[in-house]
Amino acid sequence: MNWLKKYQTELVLLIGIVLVYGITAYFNDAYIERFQYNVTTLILHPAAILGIFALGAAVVIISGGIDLSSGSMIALSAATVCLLMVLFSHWGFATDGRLPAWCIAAAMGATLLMGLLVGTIHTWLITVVQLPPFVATLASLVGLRSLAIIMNKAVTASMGNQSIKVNVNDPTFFTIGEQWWIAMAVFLVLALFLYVILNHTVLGRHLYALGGNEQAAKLSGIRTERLKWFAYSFAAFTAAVAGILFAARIQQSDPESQGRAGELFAIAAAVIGGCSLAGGIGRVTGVVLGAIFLRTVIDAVAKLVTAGSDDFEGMIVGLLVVLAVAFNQLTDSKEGWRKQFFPGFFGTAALASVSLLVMAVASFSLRMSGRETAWRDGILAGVLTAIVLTVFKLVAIFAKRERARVATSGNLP
Amino acid sequence: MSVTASAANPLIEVRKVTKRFGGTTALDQVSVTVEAGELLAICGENGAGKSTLMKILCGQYTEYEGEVLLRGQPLRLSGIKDAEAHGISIIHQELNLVEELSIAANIFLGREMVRGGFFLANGEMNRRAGEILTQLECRIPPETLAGQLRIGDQQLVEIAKALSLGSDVLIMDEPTSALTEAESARLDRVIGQLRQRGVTILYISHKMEEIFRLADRIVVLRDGKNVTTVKREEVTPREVAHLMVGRELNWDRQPHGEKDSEYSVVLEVCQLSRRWPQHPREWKLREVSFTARAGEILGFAGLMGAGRTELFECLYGNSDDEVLGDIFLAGKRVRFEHPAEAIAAGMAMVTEDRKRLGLFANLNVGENMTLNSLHQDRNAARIVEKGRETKRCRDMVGQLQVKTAGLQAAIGSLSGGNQQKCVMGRALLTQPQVLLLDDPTRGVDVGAKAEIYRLIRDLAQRGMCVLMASSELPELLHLCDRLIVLNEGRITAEFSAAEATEQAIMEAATVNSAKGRGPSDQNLGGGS
Repeated sequence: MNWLKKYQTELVLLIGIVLVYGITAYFNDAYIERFQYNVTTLILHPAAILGIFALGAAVVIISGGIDLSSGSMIALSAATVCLLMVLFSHWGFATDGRLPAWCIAAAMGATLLMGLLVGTIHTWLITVVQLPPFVATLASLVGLRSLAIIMNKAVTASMGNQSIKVNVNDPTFFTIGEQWWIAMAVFLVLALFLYVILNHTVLGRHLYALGGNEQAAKLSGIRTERLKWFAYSFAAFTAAVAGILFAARIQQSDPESQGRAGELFAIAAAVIGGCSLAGGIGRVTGVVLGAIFLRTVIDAVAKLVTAGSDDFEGMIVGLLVVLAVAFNQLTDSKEGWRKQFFPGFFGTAALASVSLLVMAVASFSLRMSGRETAWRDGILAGVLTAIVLTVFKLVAIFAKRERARVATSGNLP
Repeated sequence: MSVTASAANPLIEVRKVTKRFGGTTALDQVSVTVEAGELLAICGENGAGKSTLMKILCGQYTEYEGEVLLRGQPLRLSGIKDAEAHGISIIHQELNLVEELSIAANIFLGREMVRGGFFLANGEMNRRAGEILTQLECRIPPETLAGQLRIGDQQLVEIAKALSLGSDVLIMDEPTSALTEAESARLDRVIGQLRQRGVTILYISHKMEEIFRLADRIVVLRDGKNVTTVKREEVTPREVAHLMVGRELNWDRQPHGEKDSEYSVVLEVCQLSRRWPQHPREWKLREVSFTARAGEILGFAGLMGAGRTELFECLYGNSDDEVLGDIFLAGKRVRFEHPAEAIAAGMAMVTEDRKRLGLFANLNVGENMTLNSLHQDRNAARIVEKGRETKRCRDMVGQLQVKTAGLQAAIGSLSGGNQQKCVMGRALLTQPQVLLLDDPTRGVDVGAKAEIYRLIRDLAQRGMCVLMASSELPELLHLCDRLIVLNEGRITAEFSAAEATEQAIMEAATVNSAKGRGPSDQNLGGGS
């Protein structure tokens, strides 16, 4: 029972993954017919890459901070690894169009090292210059992607024709990007490493303490700045790993699109996996399942509306994050599900806005999946939402009146 | 509102008000009457219930037993806004200004003047604010940001706010605690002015001199009960100090042995001073010197803000201010830059504000206890061995008799006393030479207090050097072998257990420490 309560989030996510997959399979035959392709290429491979840098985001969140830079860090590391490999072959290290293993290892090693450097800079900005983590990593969010673009342009220009994208044609690199189990293995190794750190080392315990109460942590003799160094470096490192895998997957560095909004996906996976943005709470198992769940839902929606999954990603992530956080807060709060969701005049305005949003989402999504009656159905969905929510509001108002009546009739004048 | 003083019909009447926080009773059947137009001083030790009573009067605490009458009518305030609507305002010790807004914006915060129903009437607000400030002898432009003001001026802004609300009852909670002499004098004049207008003032203060200069009557609270209300002319400061502390001791005094020769000096502090940036007092601590021996319990008495916590912070390496002077631990000169260094050298501290500085709500009981000493449980591979951790933790839970459902229980599920034992356990698991206890029994019920006392005495008997600060004098008298009294950052007295009495300590803690200053220091004080 205790165990069940502790791993509630993980359990809900597991059930959710199976359920979402099952429902999609029911409506879409491709899920059964091309089972292996769907599970590995469309769900587990991207989920593993997302999970890798979600682990980094989770460590930072557990320590009470936030890292907004991972998306741009992915672009930068993809650029770095590609440029280094291109340079290596430019300098004639390649034989038969194939770089020797040490060249690839060196390119990756340098990229990972750069991740650690970025993490160090973040930590310095946060602990010494005393910028809020939000600001320090926001600067990287906008800055690093721009740096990646400039790097690509500068190096390609020096080699002949200037371009934003850098292509790599190397069979070894191709294999690394193509095989889903490589990404998965890296993901699981990193997850295991982080699991051991968080659950079985002093460092891990101190990270939770830091996230729970920074002042008390310092008074307990914890060197908080060193912990932050670990957290932000690990976050940037995992983003670098993900960047290499992204680049390998498409044999290209494309800093304008690679890893865009990645930081938000990572934070979303961590939050869906049960991390509290207030810090101090979160588990590796939750983050792993959170990433897989997020990917499963994105893919399911793509299948159901038979449109590019990319277009729907943002909407799904936004919805899931709101639901996950609201779910956690409602189960934790005293009021619980008795909370009045649309109180007062403002509540009515919110109610109308939510209904309109549902209407817009429904009609445009249905239209995109090719339904003729999309506009009518969308409006219907909006109206239905409004009616249901209004009923909820009225019930809540009457319940509150009733409680107030009971409370006052007894004692006070 | 017309205010007419008449003895028959008091302005405010507090009748048998009781306020409980969980298990502790902060106010017990307190009754006070306030006459219109008077200045009523309320005094008592730390924790006597003064602030609780004021928070009830200003609408901050809405749940209590008993009743409050305003002009003969029963009054049940629903909040601070409601109190303000009834003409009652409070000026807190910690001022509540929004530092990024101007003086005028602060004065009219929440009830801004508007033009055309929408646009801020800044000009009008500035003019009104300026008028009120001028009346209060404050010539600062009302456009100035509140954050740029000195504390004394910020306080005037709070008073101006109360006046602009048309308040005729003003509660002041230790208004001079952060003021310079000149600012205090100005406040005196402002109070005189307010009284001429018929404003009734409730004045909380520790400072006898002030109370006797300003008050008409004095209410003395002690342990949440009202002791007496006296007219100023009928008492002397000494008598009031006696009334404040003159409770019967709940415990027998322990026989304290002389511990001079047989035990070695563990901690020696020489001329320790700690700066107080941007504050008229300039020093949080000034030339503090003492020694502490192994096996000794050394007590630190003093009122709020006397520097007890600040001293412990210095010893524990948790001070961001400039610190002068020397600290010797076991004969070696030390200067800790971080609590980690202090812990490594054998110091441990139990902090004052358990919830804010002590507890980790996200960690369980066991994790809370082993946090400071977890590295002891690592094996060769630097992995924490849960078995070792659990064993150490379980031993400590047994030793301290912590009542908990288990090591896995949430720390929040424990009572205050047991939470405190966990925090002490955390300190003890580092096996310290010197243990700093800052108000270790705050918010702890009587039963747990007795256990904590026994524990402290045990620790001393086993040779630990215990430094203990407390706002409860009986506790210090009960436990300590020696007592040091701090007053505005200085040591004003030191007593052996045999010599110490509550009255003597109270006198040393409330005496105007400026009188004891040397000539050079007077320059320091007057320079502001």
